[in-house]
Amino acid sequence: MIYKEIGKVLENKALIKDSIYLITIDLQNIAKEALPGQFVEIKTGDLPLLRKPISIFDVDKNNGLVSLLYQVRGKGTKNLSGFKSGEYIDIIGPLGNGFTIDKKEQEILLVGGGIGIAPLYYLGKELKSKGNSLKFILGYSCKDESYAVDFFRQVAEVEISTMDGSLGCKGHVGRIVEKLDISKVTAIYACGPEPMLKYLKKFEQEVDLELSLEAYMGCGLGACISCVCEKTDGSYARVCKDGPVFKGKEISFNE
Amino acid sequence: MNKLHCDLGKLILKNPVTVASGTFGSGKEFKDFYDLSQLGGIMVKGTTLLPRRGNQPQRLVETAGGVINSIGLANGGVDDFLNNILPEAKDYGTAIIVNISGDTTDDYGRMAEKLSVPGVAALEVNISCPNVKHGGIAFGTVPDMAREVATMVKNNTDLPVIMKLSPNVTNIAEMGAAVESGGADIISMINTLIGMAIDIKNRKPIIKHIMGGYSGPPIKPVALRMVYQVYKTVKIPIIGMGGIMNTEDAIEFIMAGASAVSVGTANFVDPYTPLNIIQGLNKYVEENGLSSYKEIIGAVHR
Ligand SMILES: Cc1cc2nc3c(=O)[nH]c(=O)nc-3n(C[C@H](O)[C@H](O)[C@H](O)COP(=O)(O)OP(=O)(O)OC[C@H]3O[C@@H](n4cnc5c(N)ncnc54)[C@H](O)[C@@H]3O)c2cc1C
Ligand SMILES: Cc1cc2nc3c(=O)[nH]c(=O)nc-3n(C[C@H](O)[C@H](O)[C@H](O)COP(=O)(O)O)c2cc1C
Ligand code: FES
Repeated sequence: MIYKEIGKVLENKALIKDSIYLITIDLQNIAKEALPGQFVEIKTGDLPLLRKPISIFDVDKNNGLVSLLYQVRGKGTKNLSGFKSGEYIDIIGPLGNGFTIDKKEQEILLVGGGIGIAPLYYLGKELKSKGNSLKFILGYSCKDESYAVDFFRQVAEVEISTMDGSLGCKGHVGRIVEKLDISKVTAIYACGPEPMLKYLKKFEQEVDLELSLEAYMGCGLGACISCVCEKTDGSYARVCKDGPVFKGKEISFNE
Repeated sequence: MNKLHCDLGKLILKNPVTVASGTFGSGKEFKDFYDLSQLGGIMVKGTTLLPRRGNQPQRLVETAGGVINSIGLANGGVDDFLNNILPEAKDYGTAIIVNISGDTTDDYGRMAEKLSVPGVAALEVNISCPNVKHGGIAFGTVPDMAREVATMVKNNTDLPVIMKLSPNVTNIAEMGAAVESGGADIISMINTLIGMAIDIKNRKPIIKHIMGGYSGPPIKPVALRMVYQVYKTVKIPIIGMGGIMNTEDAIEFIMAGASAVSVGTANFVDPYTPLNIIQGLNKYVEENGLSSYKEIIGAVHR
């Protein structure tokens, strides 16, 4: 079930000033049904006209709370960063399919690049509760622009790469993945920039590879067919409804 | 007595508020929000004779307070509509109006014939697409071509035929007159305005297909003006659309000459917009002591 809720903002704090924020909102219905990898659509102000898609970072089912981790990019996310505790915000969700979570006692890598780390936290918590053994591999541009690492550390082991080498391994997350013994890994779940997802496609035969994609969205509900990505069979799929999570093998990255 | 009861000639709607083609899917995607039977009608996503993959992404972008789209009529084709979409949609309890597009005049005729089945309340004919037999000029920009399509559809169906006008013309009244003379029962207007947006960092159009159809609040004044002009010229009823976001916008269209309205882009912003407008119209009719909303159709012309 998809809901439109006007939720009260409990906290909206900067993890990196003017750039990375964590907002927690009272959204009773959305919290009840949200699955890892799903997202919400937020009306951030009069303009931009369209809602903005943001992944679900964390859910507190007992208290009906949803948290979102976001990066200020343009007007919409800038508006979002301006919401204060006690104010109300108009949100539609939960949307999309989410990652496969019915896995038990497996070795799973959760790979995130930049703000693409957002959906991996709730995902990690759910997978851990089912007895899976996890490792997070998080990629950032540099040490000063790394964030939320402590959240992930509470769930499982974290390895970090930065493009300039100022924290962890130098280069993109692939530098870490290629050093691991992949034969033990049964699944890789990833979200991040397209080059990173493309790189991970090389493991699509060996592991269950699931990739969360981004696309510019109109409705977020599957109605307008604007948010498409190309599938391996040449057809288009809607990122908002058929995704955002796809099996690695399904996606071609040709376009 | 239902003061919003709406009759557009042969097409009877429970109220004058419909949802615009391409912005509401087949209705299915909005079912979680409310009971669709409250709507006056649903203009289903554009359908073509054969399945279409649609244009390469990026297909949509917000610019200057509106939205440019270039979906390229992605759809499963008319047979898929009849087999997989209509069986569910016909039970929504609202008028299912099928929006059709063709590459040739004959395509329109064949689709009209196939779609003349129980469960379809009317056909809305999109003529903003290119006529492949005439160098790709849009049907809706040449009065004779638009008239021919209207006649072709009329000759192949007993359903009410709604001709949807393209605003990308110099003389909209002439287009209205052309489709009326071709046999149209109703006119819907306007379709999107051709527009463009550029990513100045990459020095490239944002929409992969370069140009797309512009919709949303910024096109409202243009749409309103066109409804006003066409109302003066034709006798058949008009379904007005273009940037309708709330009750006031809807009333403006009705006063300009629309007998019904359609909500498009606003569905992306707030899926409840059509319901809010129905409620708002009811309130307006009550507060102004009207016996029917029809009393204000074309009010500015009097
Ligand atoms: C499924 C999904 C989940 C996402 N999750 C997160 C998240 O958890 N945290 C986060 O910080 N960001 C997330 N994003 C990205 C976020 O939606 C964009 O950064 C945001 O829309 C930018 O809007 P803006 O007005 O601030 O900037 P703009 O200046 O409008 O755009 C900046 C960039 O964002 C893209 N963008 C703009 N509008 C949309 C839209 N309606 N749909 C998709 N992309 C758009 C543009 O192509 C552009 O590249 C997600 C996107 C998708 C599709
Ligand atoms: C994403 C999108 C897809 C559309 N697809 C169609 C279509 O398939 N057929 C059609 O006749 N009009 C289509 N339209 C045009 C709308 O039905 C409507 O005429 C136009 O958007 C103006 O109304 P609005 O400003 O309220 O959106 C589409 C519009 C949008 C935004
Ligand atoms: S955004 Fe409309 S179908 Fe995905």
